[in-house]
Parts: sequence; C-alpha cells; structure tokens
Amino acid sequence: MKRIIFILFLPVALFFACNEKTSNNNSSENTDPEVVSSIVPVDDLMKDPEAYVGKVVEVEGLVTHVCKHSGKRLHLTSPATNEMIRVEATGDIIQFEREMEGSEVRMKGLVQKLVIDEDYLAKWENELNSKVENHDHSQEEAESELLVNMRMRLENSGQDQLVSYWMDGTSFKVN
Amino acid sequence: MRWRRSNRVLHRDIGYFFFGMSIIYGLSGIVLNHIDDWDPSYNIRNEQVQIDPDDLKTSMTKGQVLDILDGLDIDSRYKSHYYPGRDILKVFLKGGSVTFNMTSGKGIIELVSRRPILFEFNFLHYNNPKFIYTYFADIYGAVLMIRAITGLFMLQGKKGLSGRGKWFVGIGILIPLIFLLFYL
Repeated sequence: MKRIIFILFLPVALFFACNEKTSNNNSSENTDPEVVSSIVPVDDLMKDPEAYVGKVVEVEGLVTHVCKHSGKRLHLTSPATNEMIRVEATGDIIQFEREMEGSEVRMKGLVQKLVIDEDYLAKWENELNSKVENHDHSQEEAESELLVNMRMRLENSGQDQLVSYWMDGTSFKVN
Repeated sequence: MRWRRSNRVLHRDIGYFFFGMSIIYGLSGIVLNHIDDWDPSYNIRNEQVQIDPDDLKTSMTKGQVLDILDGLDIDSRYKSHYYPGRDILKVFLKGGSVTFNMTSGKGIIELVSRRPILFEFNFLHYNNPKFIYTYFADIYGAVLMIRAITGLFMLQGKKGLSGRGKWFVGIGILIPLIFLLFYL
C-alpha cells in the first residue's frame, strides 16, 4: 500500500518542484506597465489607440461576440459607433462564458499592438523557410497560406503597413 | 508471485480511484473530437421569424425593441441591442439572440443553453479550473500510463502478454503509427 501511495503522489511532488522554479524565474523579469486611472469607453480607446499601447486600461463596452471554440477571446463594442476591440483572456481570466454576449462589461487589461509590414512578413517567411529546411513540416502549409493571405491583404490595402490593436484582458466586471 | 499481486492491486485500485476522471475524459474526448460538426458544450436552436419591417427603425429605444419581442413572446429575455450593420439589428437575449434584417423584416432567433453534463465535462477537459486541478489532471494522465503498463501483466499464459496479448498490443500500436505515416 505504501508503495502505491508513493507512486501516486510522486508526480505531485515533481510538478510542485517545477512550478516553484518557474515562478522564481518570472519574478525578477517583470516590469509594471503604466496604469490609466480613468475608465475609458471603447469609442475613446479606438479614437486614439496608439496613446494606450503598452498601458493597463479599464475599458467599458458591450460584449458582442465570444469565441465559441475556445472562449479565450471576445469583442468589446460601442453600440453607438460600432468601434470594437478584441480582448484575449489572460491573467486570472480562465475563459469568457458565452452568456456574456449582450452584457455591458468593464474590462481591465494591457493594450497591445501588432504592425504587419513588409519587414514583419519577410522575417516570418525566413522563419518558415528554416522550418522547412529543418524538416519540421507539421504546420508549415497552413502557415504559408496565412502568410500569403496576409501579404495580399497588405497589398490590397495600398498602405505600407496594417496595424492591429487588441487587449490582453486580466480581469473584468459585468455591469 | 509477489510483484504480480502488487501489480494487480495497483491496477485495480487506481482504476477505482480514477473511475470518475476516466468517464469525464472519455466522454468529453469523444464530443470534442467532433467540435467542427457541433457545439459540444451548448445546445443551439434556431428559429426563423417574420415581422413587419416598418416596425424596425435605425435608432430604437429599449421600449420599442421590447414591443417587438413581446410579439414573439420573448420580451422577458431582453438584455441589450445594437446595430452591427447598416441593415441589421441584433438583440441580445438571456440565453441567445435575435438578428433582424431591417429591410425584409426576417429574423433569426438563436436560443443557446448549456448541454447538461457535457458542459461540465468539457469545462474540466479544457482545464478551465486551472490551479490545483491542473496537477490532479496531470496525475490522471500519468496514471493512465501506469494502468496501461500494469494491465499488460495482469494475466499469464495463453491469454497474457506472451499469448494473444502481444498481438493486440502490436495492432493497437500499429494503428496510430499508420495514421502518422499517412497524415504527418
């Protein structure tokens, strides 16, 4: 019996040991981003998203969509103007419940930005090529397709870059 | 032999202890396999309705929307509404939504409810509780392997691993290998 208990609980001890090491590593690398003290409606955020990039903001809006497959992202929209920001579930948020659709929500999180330009696509292409050279064929076809689509979108836009903003949500309150 | 008895006891007792987890992961595994064909956690019922398009306006108050929902007998479910497109009104309901085409007056009511049991099982399968449950689920994963190994040595002779067992084990390993060969 003692042997059985030992076998069953050995993995627990190992996992706790691994987890402790990871937390120690993280604590020394964190730097706190600037926090915007006022509550920002989605409209205001999307009027000048650049001003909020890298900052923690509390944004208010209507939840108009929750990802049905994973529940890991939602759309926070202004019903007045249809301005929308995508929110990813991070931090203490495990997942967004589908029942949140149609609710007014105050979402706290870090505003993020992705710039897709020719440099970004070229770097991506290089990474993809090295994967092919290393015979890692697992996802390269789907990724190549995505890369081609992205390049077409950039060309069709007639601009040098496409900019995408989103929020890494860390907590929220349903109003 | 003494080790064979311990093996049998281990196989049996971890089977008892993790019976619940086996059912949870087995059932949710099957339904999540078919996630492209259906929603494994929610029951979705769609119903088409037709209203007078003149009743739909580009800037409606809550009261006006409630009047429309009253005619469809779903006014008590109202949560909020907005216009996702120039010609579309979307009304969120407790447990669903109605989307109206403002030109034709056609609407689609989508009623959503959690699938009993499956919602809870999938919640666990996705490791949504996180924290300590992660470790419990990890232990279950490790135990599955221990059960598989101890299972190999439950019986001796013709029905054991050295008899028919080796063929079943071999075929069982070969099947996923064939899929890897063709699809990877």
